[in-house]
Parts: sequence; C-alpha cells; structure tokens
Amino acid sequence: MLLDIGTEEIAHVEMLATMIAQLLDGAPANDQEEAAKNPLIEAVLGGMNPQHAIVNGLGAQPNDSVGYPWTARYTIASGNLLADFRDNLNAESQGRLQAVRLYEMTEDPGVRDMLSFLIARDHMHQNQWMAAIEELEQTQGVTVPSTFNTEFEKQDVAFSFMNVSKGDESSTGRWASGPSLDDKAPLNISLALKRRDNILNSHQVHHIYMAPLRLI
Amino acid sequence: MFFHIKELQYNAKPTKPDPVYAKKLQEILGGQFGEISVMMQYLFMVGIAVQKTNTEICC
Repeated sequence: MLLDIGTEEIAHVEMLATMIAQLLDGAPANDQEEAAKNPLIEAVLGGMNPQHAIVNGLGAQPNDSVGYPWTARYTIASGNLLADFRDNLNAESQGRLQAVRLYEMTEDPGVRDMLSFLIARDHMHQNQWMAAIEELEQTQGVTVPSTFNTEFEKQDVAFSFMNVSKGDESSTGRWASGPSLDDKAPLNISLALKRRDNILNSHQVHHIYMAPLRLI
Repeated sequence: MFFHIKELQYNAKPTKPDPVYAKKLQEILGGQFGEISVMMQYLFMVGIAVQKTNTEICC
C-alpha cells in the first residue's frame, strides 16, 4: 500500500505542476494603467511570484506559496510502522485541510474540479492509513515502541495525569481516569497535582505570577 | 522501477490564467504538507520496510 499511495503522489505532483503552469500561461490583460500594457508587469504588481516568470519560465517550482524551498526535513521514515503511519495520517489530514482552503479561495470551475479530485483522494488515503494503524494497534499494541519492556519505566508516573494548571478542569477528562488506552493500568491523577495546588493557592506565589499578567 | 504514461491521473484545465492563484497553489505542491512531501515520505518508508525484512533493528 505504501508503494500504491507513494506512486499516486508522484501523479499528484505532476497534476499540480501542470495546473500551476496552466494558470501561469498567458498573463491577464488589463489596459487601465500604463504599467498594465505589459501583462507580465501587471501580474507581478498584482501579487504573482516574479520567480514564476523569471526563474521558471511560467512553470511550477518545488517551493511553497511564499517561495520557501521544499526540504527533506518535512519528511519522516523511522522504520517503526505505527509511528510512521500516524505521521502519514497527519500529513493527509493537513494536506486535505489546505486543499479545502485553497478550494474556497478560487471560483474557477476547472481549478475546483482538480482540487475536488485531490480532496477526494486525501479522504481515501486518510481512511487507508486509519485502517492500517488500527491493524497494527491490534497486533502490536497502541504505544510506540511496543518492544520496550514497560517494567523498566518509572512505574509511579507511567499512568499519571499531571495537572500543572490552576483548577481541576483538565483532570476531569478521559485522559486522566479510567483504564489507560493501552489497557495496561488504570489512570490516576498524579500526587504532584496536590503539591501544585498547594503552591498556587498560597498567596505569595499567586501575587508573583499575576503581577506581570496585568501589565499586558 | 517506475513507468510513465503521458496521461495525467486526473486532467482539469483552468478557465482563465491566474498567476496569483498559481502562487497559492504552490503550497500543496512544495509546502510542508504538499504532494512532494508525502511522495518522498511514502517512497522512503518503502525502502526502509524492504530493508527491515532482512535485518530487524530494535523497534
């Protein structure tokens, strides 16, 4: 499946590069101003990326929307399939979110048609990664990495929720009580919570922390 | 290895040029969560997965 989607993403790079070139091909004509007599100058004044014309001959570049070059640091491949597939799910989620926002930024039916395809594929890819994640979680467990002997973890904090903010609101969530999601132990609220409340409730510390907030 | 065919996976044409929107569209091509990122990520994950079947590292 990795190869299936990976190969499909090559096709999406091709689709987007083609669409960008089509959008750049033939600058808009507008004769209202002197500068507008040169459509290229008008487009640059209107906010196009001048490098699209100067560097790329009205084609796409491997950069983002503000010209920052693509970097391999955007990617991760750790060899741990569960950690990696979770990142894949996030990548498809962020990617679909941005494609949907771009869909809302244009009314061109042709551009929307292409984006509706990419949005649909990102939808399916999220489903595929979710299914793969679920399969791995059922066989190896939900915590990454699953191979480390948990007895070597400091046991008294391994299932403790630590509330380090004022009040108890965050302690009421599912993450703070009930069985842990890896079904290894019941969750508990850390004893550090009580120590924290004692500190925050003391008048002296309260004064120190509140004073700078008033300045803002 | 990969073979290439001339047809796009899905072909759509804009009704008119829009160089300003072309700049915006660069985000999902070469941005952090763009198609180049997922393409490279998935293909490199394949490489590691194949290698891991021969030599098992700790986790």
